[in-house]
Amino acid sequence: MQPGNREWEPLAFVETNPRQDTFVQLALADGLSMRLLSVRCQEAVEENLPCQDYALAVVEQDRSRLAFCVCDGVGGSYKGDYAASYLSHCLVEWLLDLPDLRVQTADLAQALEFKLHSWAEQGHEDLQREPLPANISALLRHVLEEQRNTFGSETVFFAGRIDYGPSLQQKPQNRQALFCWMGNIAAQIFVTPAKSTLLGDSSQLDSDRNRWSTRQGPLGMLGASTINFEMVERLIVSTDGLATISSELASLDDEMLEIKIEELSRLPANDDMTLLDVQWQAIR
Amino acid sequence: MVTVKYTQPATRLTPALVIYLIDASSSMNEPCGSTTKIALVNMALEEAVKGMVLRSMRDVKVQPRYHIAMFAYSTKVNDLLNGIRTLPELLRVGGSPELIAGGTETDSASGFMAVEDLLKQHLATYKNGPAPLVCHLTDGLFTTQDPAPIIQRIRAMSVEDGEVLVENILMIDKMLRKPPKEWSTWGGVQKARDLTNDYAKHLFALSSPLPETYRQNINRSAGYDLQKGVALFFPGIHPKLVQLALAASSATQM
Repeated sequence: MQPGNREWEPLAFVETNPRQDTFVQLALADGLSMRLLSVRCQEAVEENLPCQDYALAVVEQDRSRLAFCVCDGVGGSYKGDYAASYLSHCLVEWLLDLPDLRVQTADLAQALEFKLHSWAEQGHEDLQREPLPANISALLRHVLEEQRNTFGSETVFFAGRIDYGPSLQQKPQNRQALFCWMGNIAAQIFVTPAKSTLLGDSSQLDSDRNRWSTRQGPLGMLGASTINFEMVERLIVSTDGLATISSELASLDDEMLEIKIEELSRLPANDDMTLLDVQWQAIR
Repeated sequence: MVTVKYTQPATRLTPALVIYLIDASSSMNEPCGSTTKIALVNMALEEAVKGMVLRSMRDVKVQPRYHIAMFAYSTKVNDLLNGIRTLPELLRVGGSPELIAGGTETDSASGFMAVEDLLKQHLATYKNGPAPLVCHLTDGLFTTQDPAPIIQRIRAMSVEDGEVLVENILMIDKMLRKPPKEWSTWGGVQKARDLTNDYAKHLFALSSPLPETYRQNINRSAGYDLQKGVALFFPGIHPKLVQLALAASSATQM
């Protein structure tokens, strides 16, 4: 973890690698399983540039809770990958430090809004310390400085913490989850294999106007929701590179998923693609 | 089934071709506000290139999502970039070249002919990309033949995304029947009767309609209020308007 000073000894710590494609599958005890996939767009592969999506998931040692964040750095901002990685770590750390999720959503949202501003200040200071590349034209230097100073590094995000108690084998009792988001990252929560609810604001018009910036903190609407977790069995979070297949993701096994991603990668407008898919089979 | 046109984004694999055709006759040295018309054009071109750079950044590298050609005409036509250059190539030579006005004629027809030749030669390369856009900027009536037939031939050329777009920017005063108090609230030119000047009406008729996707992108990113159904025709009498007009040249989907 980069930003904070937290000592991490999780049971599982999974993150994407911005420099190469990631496909991690984890089968944890008690029926909790996870797959995390991140594929760079062709442009990034050809130029050896980092993925602008970033995802991180942490399962605590006592297996009682999971925290995660999926970010999609904004292409038109300065080094969107920076904001994506930085904010993911900040959010997951904050989520795991929350004492209890059984509080009013509005109170949590207010606390998060405050944090989003303070992380921005620190993040922007760090970003400005990084030198611009040498040997670039005066015009490009001017554009990069303007981009960094005016917009900073920006990202959209969907993050959450799921408190499922000491064992998934036990009968569900007061299980809670908190989700928070800004921008067009899609999240589906399944209460049965066939019935799901959409969270986040990916289906709303102009949803990409909601974002977090190192220069200005949260821009637009911050979404937050706390839910009772007893009936939930699967969570799928995906970035907009997978938007055209987001409704199919739950039904795609690993092989089919790779085929679909290969097809998407060949499209001219292909984008970075990231998927976090968490299932807890024994929960119902 | 109706196919929605002008939706193809400018990408590395499907770059957008933008061709600037600039009147560099001596009248472009005339004052325009606190500067000259040609100085205003140079400044606006630099801003347009910056806009493309911003739309082409990945990490700190500029991607070749835009390809650019640039012609200046007066008595003769100059190919300022020696053909088509990718955006990174243009940056390597210092960006948009500085235009110098001179020459007695305004030979718009020869300028458009050079554009037509370039398109004939390269259109196939851009068949899967956004429709190429020709951005013509002038301050007055042509002094040789009427370029209308050539412009119509250019507008009849097409790629999958739609017909080639022709934008006209006319740098003359008092051509709008109802000039707005604030340019940011200006809705654009929808009908010839919005214009007072005959040449403005002529160029307006030769301009492509502003694609809806481009209109939304410009209004959203630059804070303008262009209305549905306006033409790719702009009065270039104010620095902000010239910038707006040139921003339209790179308003493809992202």
